[in-house]
Amino acid sequence: MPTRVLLVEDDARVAAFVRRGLESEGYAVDTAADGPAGLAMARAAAYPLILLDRRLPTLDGLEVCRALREEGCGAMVLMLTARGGLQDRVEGLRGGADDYLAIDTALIVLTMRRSGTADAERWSRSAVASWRGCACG
Amino acid sequence: MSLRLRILLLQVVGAVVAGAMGIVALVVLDRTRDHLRHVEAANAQLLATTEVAVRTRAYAQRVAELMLLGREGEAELPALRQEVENALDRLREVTLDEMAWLSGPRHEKRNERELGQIEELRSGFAEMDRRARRLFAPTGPTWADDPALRVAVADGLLHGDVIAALARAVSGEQAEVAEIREEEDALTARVTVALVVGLLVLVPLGVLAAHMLARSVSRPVAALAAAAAAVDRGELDHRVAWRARDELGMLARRFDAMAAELANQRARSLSAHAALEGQVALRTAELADANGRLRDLDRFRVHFLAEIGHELRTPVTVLRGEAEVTLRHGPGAPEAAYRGTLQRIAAGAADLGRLVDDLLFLARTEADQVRYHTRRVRLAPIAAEAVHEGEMLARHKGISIDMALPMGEREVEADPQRLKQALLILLDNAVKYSPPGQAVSVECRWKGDMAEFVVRDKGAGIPAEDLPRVFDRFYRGRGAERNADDGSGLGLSIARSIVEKHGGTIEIESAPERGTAVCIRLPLLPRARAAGATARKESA
Repeated sequence: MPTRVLLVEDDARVAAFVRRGLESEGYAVDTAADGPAGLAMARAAAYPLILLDRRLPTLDGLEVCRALREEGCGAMVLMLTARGGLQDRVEGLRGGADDYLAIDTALIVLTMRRSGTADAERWSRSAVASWRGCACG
Repeated sequence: MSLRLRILLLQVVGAVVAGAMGIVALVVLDRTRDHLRHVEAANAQLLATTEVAVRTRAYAQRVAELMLLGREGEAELPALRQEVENALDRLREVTLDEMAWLSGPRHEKRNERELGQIEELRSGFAEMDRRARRLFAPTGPTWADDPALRVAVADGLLHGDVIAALARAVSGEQAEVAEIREEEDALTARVTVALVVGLLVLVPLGVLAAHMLARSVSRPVAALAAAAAAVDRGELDHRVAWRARDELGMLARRFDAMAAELANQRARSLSAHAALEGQVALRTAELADANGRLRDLDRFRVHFLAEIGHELRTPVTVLRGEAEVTLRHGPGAPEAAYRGTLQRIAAGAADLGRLVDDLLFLARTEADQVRYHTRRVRLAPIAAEAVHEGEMLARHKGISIDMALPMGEREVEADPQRLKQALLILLDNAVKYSPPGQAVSVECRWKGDMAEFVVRDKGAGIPAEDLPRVFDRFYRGRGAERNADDGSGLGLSIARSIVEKHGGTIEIESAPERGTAVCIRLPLLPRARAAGATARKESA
């Protein structure tokens, strides 16, 4: 059974190719177009991995992440942004995200970890760290 | 009176005093010399008279001796007689000398008297001599025997008229000398009085004149010195105010004029200084203002660049992501996958191109580089064309556009392409933010000399706090789903800049859940005569 991933992204174009990329790597992808919808879906089903766009209308990715962490959600949360600024990254990590990645980088990381992705902890500690420099650039 | 005249007057007064003194001294000297000469002459007369008396007495005495003592020594008589004659001649000479330089009726009278006396003496002596000759003549009376007669003759000889005349002459001369003395004393007294009176009058007068002169000089000079000191202290409004008509008065007036000119110059200099300071302040303020504007512009540019970077990032990311996702399939991927990806990339690149176009348009508008080809155009056809194109956008969402266009041919001064672009932006927004199936209404109407073009949708509306930002670049309504049709977020910015270039205004009204209305107002051109006639025909 494929790993289910929740993608919360308001830009349909971005959501489309990220979904295609993840699906081609064997993930099952659910998408939400804004913060409240994403939060509701995350509560309804226990996703092992959640991809959150940093900037969402009404409720942004950071707020969604905080809310999930406060509710004791143990999912792996990756924050996505078109920009990879250090300040965004620090904020994201403080808000409880496991890492903070530029969208294209995130995709590559995820595809590299295609097998055994259920073990979120493991890849997050190794591969994510190895791509951090790229994300910062 | 001028200073020069005053000094001259004082000198004249001094000269008059000195002259008077000199004249008095000269007169006194002259009179004294006259008197001295007179006294000398009188003394000489007295001496001559005395000589006459002595000689006469010597003659008479000899005669008497001859008579009394006998005829011995008769031969000496002619010599004695001659001496008397000589003395008389000398007396006459002296008297005539005096007459030569003494004049005036008083002196003439006296001289006549004196001459008379001399003649009297001479005739008296002649009588005496005649008698003596007769006595001693050989045919003369015989008096020698009669002693009584001898005594009588001798007495007659000795105490005759001659002696009396002599006494009178001597006393006359003495009286004259005394008279001269008296005259001299009187003159001395008069001169003394005149001198004292003159001194008493002239000296105070001179002192007074000198004092007045000194006063008339020292007072204006003191006033001038005080004024100069005041001006030196900077009190330029100080004036001497000495109105005399003399040289010092002129100097004072010149000084006052100079002080006034100085005050004038200082006032001008101060006002120029103030004006300069004002200008400097103004320029400084203008510079600060310009600097502020430049800083704002700079901030705006930095912000604009950041916005552009942000706005370009997502589409570029999409393009790259699409390509990378597809490329991961490797060589064995189906052609359809590549085709689909390439189509999406082409569409994304087209979006990106439109975004860049919009950005360019805005940037050129900001730089005032966009050309508008304005002309007189009818508004209604442009609005109709915009609505027609809007309907194509609306069709796929099942949205209809209700159009209410006015009859009539009112015209505006516009660039048709740009104006249509602005109207289309409003229609596009209305379609974008309307729920599927809802109608969008368009109304175009004349209101006074303005045209109104209003687009209304029944979308989610815009929160009140967002309303002031809707014309900002990159503002996007929250109701719109973000996708390829999302647009650049520059539409209303562009629409506003176009409308403002046409001299119009754009306004937005919105309430959440009740929809949004955007209104463009443009100034209408005055009705052309022909167009007006057509309109009347149509309404008829």
